[in-house]
Amino acid sequence: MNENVETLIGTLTPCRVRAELRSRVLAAVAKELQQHDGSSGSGAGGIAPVFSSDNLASPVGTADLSTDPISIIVRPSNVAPSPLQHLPLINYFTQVGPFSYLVSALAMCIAVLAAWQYKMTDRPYRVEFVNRPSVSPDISDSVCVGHVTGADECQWGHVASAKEGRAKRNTPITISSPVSAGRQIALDSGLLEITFRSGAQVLLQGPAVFDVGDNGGFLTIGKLTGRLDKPSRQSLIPNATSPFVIQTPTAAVTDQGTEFGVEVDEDGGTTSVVFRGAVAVQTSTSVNRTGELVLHANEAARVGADLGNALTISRTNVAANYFTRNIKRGERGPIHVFGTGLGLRKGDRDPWWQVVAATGDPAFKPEPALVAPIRHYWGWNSPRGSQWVSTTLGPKNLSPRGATYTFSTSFDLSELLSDTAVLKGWCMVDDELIDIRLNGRSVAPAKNVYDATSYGCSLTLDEGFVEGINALEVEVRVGEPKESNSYNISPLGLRMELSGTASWKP
Amino acid sequence: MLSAMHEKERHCVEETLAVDTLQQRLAHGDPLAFAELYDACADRVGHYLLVRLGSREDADDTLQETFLRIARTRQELENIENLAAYVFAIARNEAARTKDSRTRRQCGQVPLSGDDLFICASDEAETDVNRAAEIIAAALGQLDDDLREVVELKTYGRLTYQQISQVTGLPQGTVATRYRSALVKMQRWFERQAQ
Repeated sequence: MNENVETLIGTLTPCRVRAELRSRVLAAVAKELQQHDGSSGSGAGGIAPVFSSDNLASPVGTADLSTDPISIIVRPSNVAPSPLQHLPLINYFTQVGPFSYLVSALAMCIAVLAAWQYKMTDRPYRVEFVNRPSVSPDISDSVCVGHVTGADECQWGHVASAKEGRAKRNTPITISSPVSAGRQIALDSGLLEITFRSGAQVLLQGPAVFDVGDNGGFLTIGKLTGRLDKPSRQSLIPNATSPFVIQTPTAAVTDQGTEFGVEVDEDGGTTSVVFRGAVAVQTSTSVNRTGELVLHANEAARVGADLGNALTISRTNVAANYFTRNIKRGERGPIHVFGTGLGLRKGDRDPWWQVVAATGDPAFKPEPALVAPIRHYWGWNSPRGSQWVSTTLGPKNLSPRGATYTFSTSFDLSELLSDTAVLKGWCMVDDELIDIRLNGRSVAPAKNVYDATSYGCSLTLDEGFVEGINALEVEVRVGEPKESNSYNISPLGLRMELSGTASWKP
Repeated sequence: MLSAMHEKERHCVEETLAVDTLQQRLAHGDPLAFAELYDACADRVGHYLLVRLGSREDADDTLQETFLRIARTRQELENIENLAAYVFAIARNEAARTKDSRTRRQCGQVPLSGDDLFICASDEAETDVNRAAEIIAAALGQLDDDLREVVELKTYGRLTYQQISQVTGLPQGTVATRYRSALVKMQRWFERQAQ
């Protein structure tokens, strides 16, 4: 039973309706047509011909009405008057008058009430949408893989909601918003640019439906332009080392360091065109696979056509200006920096934050921070913004008192002017915030916060940035025991939320 | 081979339905035009109705009602943008009426056998095809109706996203999204069954 659903659908063959049904249906249709013609016929007392099913039994194109027999049915034109017509009361009801209007109105009301009783809104063919833009989007099962780096006149469509089993309107996405793997984006119109941590960029062109992947994604319908000019330094992140791939219902387009366009039409057929470099195009299913095609600059290919048909690759011609390759950018661009535990679940290792140092432990080795189980006095997590992270060193994230741990993250300003960067955020720690350092230079708030768990501390940085990779470090200490009988271990935690912008390099 | 046959047949169907004069002849009540329309799309509509209603008898009756309703409202046909979508839209409404009627009559639905689910157009690999049809039908049964309907229209009706959008009144992107979601759910169901 371990089948591929698309493969199975591809094996389906057409179903034939019963042959005898054809004559039955066409006879009924012919009768219906004749009745209408007869009722609107010219003469009273005339005869109206009715085609029998016999003359329609042969396949279309071979039927010849001039030679096929036509049965004639004589319809009486003069209907005998009803015996009730002589009754005055009956006549009164059948006359057009105020009373008949009243009867009609009452009948209409009864019909409306009856429809209400049958709960017409619950009928299967009545489709309703849940439009709740204020509701937070579903939390992704996977990590945050990139940011929205451009948006131009976006109109959002409907996406499928796993929780409610029906479509709901896509929550508007703004510039600098983090994007998680598994997120579905439905764009009715406009342009949306996503920059992955790998450095790859996707420019969606509405109308389009796109499922974000670890490095690339699945384009259900619509157009996009993909670009991977140079791998980002941040591709040190494990998931970002995977190839940049755009998948579609019929094909997989794998980037080989290039700029390319992909379009999926309404039948699932995929058209790929390369502007620079090269891509590998292959069919997406194992059945009927006809191999792989490598496209170079100014070449295009189409994989088609529909599910259930043979998938074949053929070269085609596509005008280069058919795809939008650039988006109108604002003056400032987002800094790709992530809050702690962003888009993760409890127990996940944070790919963006590491614990890089611990005092009093000579054997310590740097390790990813861990999304910690929340403690009652820490406050709520916000998976879309930040969550509490800790270390895996102690039992149940309890660490020796007196030890200081250094949490670290990094971000790339290669495409931005470092002297124009502004980074804003806030943090909460357990127990003590010792220092915050940007590129080794202390930028801690003037007031050293002892226990930031209750109110946190805000942070605004507008200097100290360097060209290229920048490192932000937060030192957190597990406090000394306040009483002699306290445990010698205590929870360690950091929650930090960050966002920033800088001017684009000319 | 089968896929090539489907493609050829599909093109024939679309080509037939795309002829403007057919709509005009239908609108004027030409019985032969209705025969052409029947030959072009009855198999697809019938298959969709069969899966939708789960009863061959109901599917046959509903197919007849569909064509009768098209005949009654034939004056509208000249203004129809997509004839195939129009036919399926009427079939969909008739199927809903049949379901309602069945519910009011409190008639139970008799499960379809493998042969009822699928009558092969070809003898090739008949066993595999019937098996695939049964598996897909079982997976469809796990879906919510809004997702299931999109798959039925796409798979059995062989409509495009655009046509399904016209049939259901949903945005084209929503149709594509639902189809994709349905396939994912069906795939997960397959995987659960395999375990």
